[in-house]
Amino acid sequence: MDLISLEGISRFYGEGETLVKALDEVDLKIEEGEIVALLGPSGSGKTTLLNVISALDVPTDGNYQFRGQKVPLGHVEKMTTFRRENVGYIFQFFNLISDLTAEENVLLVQQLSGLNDRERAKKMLSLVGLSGLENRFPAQMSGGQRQRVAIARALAKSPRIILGDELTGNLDSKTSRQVMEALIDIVRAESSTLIYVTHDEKLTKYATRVIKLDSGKIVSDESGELASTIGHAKDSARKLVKEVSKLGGSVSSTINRIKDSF
Amino acid sequence: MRVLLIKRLSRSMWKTKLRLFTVIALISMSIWAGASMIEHTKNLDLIYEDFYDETNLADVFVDIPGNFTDVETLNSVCADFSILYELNECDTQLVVQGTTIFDAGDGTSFIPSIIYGFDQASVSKSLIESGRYPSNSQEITLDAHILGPDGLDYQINDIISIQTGDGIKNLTIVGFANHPHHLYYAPEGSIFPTYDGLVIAYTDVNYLADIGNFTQNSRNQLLIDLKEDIQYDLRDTTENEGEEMSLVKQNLSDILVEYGIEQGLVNDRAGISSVEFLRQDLEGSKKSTPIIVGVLLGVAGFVIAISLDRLVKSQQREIAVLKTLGISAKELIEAYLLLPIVLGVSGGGLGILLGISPYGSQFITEYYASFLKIPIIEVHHYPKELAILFASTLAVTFIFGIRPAIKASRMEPLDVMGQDAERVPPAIITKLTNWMPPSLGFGMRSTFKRPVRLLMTLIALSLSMVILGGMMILMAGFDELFTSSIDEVENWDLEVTNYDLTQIEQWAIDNQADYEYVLRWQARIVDDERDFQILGMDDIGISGDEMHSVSLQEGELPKEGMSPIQVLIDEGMSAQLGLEPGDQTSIAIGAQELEVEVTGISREMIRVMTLHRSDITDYTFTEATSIWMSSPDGLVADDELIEASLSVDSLEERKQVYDELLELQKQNMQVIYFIGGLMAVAVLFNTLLINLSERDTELATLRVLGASKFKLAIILTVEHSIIGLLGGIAGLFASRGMAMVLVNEFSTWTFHLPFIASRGTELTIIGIIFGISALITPLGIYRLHKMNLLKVVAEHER
Repeated sequence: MDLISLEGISRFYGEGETLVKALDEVDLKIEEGEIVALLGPSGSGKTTLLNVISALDVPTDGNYQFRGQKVPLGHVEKMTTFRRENVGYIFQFFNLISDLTAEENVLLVQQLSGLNDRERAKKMLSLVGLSGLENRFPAQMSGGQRQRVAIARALAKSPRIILGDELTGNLDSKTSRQVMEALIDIVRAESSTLIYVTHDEKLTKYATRVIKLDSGKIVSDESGELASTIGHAKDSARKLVKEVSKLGGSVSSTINRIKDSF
Repeated sequence: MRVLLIKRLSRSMWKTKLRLFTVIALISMSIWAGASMIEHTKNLDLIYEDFYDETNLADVFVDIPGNFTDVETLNSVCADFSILYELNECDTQLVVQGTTIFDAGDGTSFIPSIIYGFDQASVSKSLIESGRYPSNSQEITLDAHILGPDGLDYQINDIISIQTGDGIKNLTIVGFANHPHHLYYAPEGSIFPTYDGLVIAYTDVNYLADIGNFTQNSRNQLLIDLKEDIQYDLRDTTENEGEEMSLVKQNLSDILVEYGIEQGLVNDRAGISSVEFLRQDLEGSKKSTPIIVGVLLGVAGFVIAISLDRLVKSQQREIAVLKTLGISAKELIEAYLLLPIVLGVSGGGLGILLGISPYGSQFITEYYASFLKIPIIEVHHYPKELAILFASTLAVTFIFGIRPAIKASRMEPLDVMGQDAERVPPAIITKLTNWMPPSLGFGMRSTFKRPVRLLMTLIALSLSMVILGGMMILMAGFDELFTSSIDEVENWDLEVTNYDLTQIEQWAIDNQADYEYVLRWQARIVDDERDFQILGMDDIGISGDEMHSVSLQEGELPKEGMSPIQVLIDEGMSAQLGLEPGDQTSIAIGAQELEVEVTGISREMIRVMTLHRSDITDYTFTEATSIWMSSPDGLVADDELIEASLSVDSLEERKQVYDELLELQKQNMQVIYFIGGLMAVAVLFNTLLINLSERDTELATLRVLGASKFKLAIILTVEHSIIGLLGGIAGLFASRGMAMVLVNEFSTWTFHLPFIASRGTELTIIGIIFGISALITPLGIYRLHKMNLLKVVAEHER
């Protein structure tokens, strides 16, 4: 079953001559565990698509199903509940609560969902490399560190899907790389699904799937670099197992023999 | 550049229309109230002046309490006096106390009455409002104050039954008039006006002699109109403005002694309680108006400062960009200073227009005049005063706009755009809130993170309550004063007055009533013009069983037969004269002086010196002036008692009258309550709205992250409750401060209001701010509901 299923989704703003088709009959299916990059120039509709997926925005037309269930679009409180139960959101400017420490920011999102798992909060912060900085306030952290807190916050309640809008747009390239790596590590460790918007092609290398948008339409939908990397890794592993099985004997003695052969 | 900058600023302000209009409305309300009060005070001054001119109010008069002399003697006194001073007019009167027997349909009541018998009617004369003066002894003219539904509802040609010392007389009412001694229509010694609890009637002196069984030449008042205007001492000031008048009175007093009228009391206009009360009330208004206007302007100024501060903060990134692009600090200051001026001009202008409209000074003066039943109402406008008020408004708005403007001009782009722009909550607050769930803790930290902003909010919240809270405390004090000086201390049923009390005492014995002789006399401190009442009683105690229990506030009860005579003074006398228990002072009773020692301080409605009756009879030449009577089943006056008395005062009726008057007084305060309440709501609303809007991004973020409205409502409720509680406490302190200022400004010799803090009122004040703060939560939730989350988050992202 698809995690996300969008059929004929349109989102128009204005009317008549000022009509803007931010999304124009978009069809899209995303499976659990995918890491999807939404790529496109400014105004292509990628953020609008993200907003529709997160139930922040209501499409003008179309059908949106999440795990086979219709998403309650048009009902503000039900949309909020949907987000609370299923979505982890990462903003470009972090949007951390400035009066809460890193750990408290993470705990806050848990508490909104009726959880209070301090251990998990600590673990999430540790996974994004912020061990020892739990008690710092956002103002006492760098941009990269703040975004890591935001990532930990997004994952704190184990959401089915994590959404990020230009999540490294406010960071330098080195920090962007570090943040993305941290994000991918934690997403993979948690077996979550990630959809992130970017206009930076370099960042698509972290995705298993890259969807390009232009003028509100999907213009391409391909496997990402990460997918091929994973594919290559899987092939190599398969070859290795095949070679090993040819050699016979127990696996460990076989490996030792391989080692010795180098 | 400048035009573009102003255009940008105007558009930004327009985005926050609600707050913009709240600020303008607040300034308008302040100026509306200020202009109305200023004009009302000036109009009132003119009204009194016109009325006293027209009725030729006496400059000096002689009152002979409890006794009479003849017209020839008084004319001789006048002739001797005219040798010393040039006189316009000299007139005599016969003034007698009586009782009106009034049948209201639900039973008969006995109403204390005063009947004036005019001789020449040339000094302190009454002005006919409708009908005419009597033309024979079977007719009477009544004071016009009793007209109307709150009065006795008598009509011309109705028959009125009055007991004047010679039995009950049925007289035909032929007219209604106003008298300068009774423009403020309150019984002697009372500060409450009453229109159905007092009858004052006017007739010819010979007709009064007829119906009262007096000799035709009996007189007890001498009224003198001096040619020269001589300033008299104002009783509510510490300095003596009336030294020359004191000499005038002393000379007149000396002449009276020469004619054997030792008990004759010489007084100037300050000795007429109505004249003095209205003058002091007007003085109170004159003094309190600038304070109230100042507070109103201060509140408006603070609200402008907070609003502009918020505006500058919300625009800091734009300002940073503009500064980066090269705009000068001067240009920024000019633009941000223009805004308060525009607010001041629009709000001030609207306020002035409202002030001169029928809903401004005219409304207040007419309302006041209708409350006091003042006959002449002429409302003028005063351009000079209004211009000063308008200029003050501009000055205040400008001054309070300076700080935000300078703040805007001093913003450094790097500081604003850099990450260091965010602040960390104080360590102590972080520690104190560590135990809280983050959803509650961050509200606390946010509240305390910016002490200056918090302080400004608390100042605005407390200022919002100064007028309403101050008046509430004042009125609660008034209530408490009434309760502790009437309800809880008076235990008699009837107080019956006559020159000869033998028959009245016999009536008490016949009716198996408990009774006590009472001596009420007029006196004053030597070298002080202010009159007070001496209350001589036989049983002075605080047990609550006495006819009149003393509400002792400080010190001890006086002992009988001590030298010097031991006395209690009331709180007002103590405050105004600076006398404390243990002090000794000299008092004057007529021409005689005696030394007294203050042993304690009591709470009374009027200025009273309480002592043992036996200690004072040698100086008054009278044993007693009235009798208090009580019975476990209550006493009701019958015809026999009425016939035997000059006046009968029923405690039940007095309490009823006071209750009605207290209610009336509260109604009279409605205008100020309304203004104060409106101000409080407007300021609270504006301040809390600003607080709320500062949290937009955070709340929108929480909403995006899945926070339900219920959860946000809890967060907002906790946060607003904290602000409401702190604001309520600050508001209480400000209200107490204002009440103290008002008590000091309003308290005079005649009307002394002690500062009495009522716990209930104080909790109500805190509750109002707390309640409004809590009520802002639904508004906050509604804003969140209407909020375009995408827009708010996107704006933040930008």
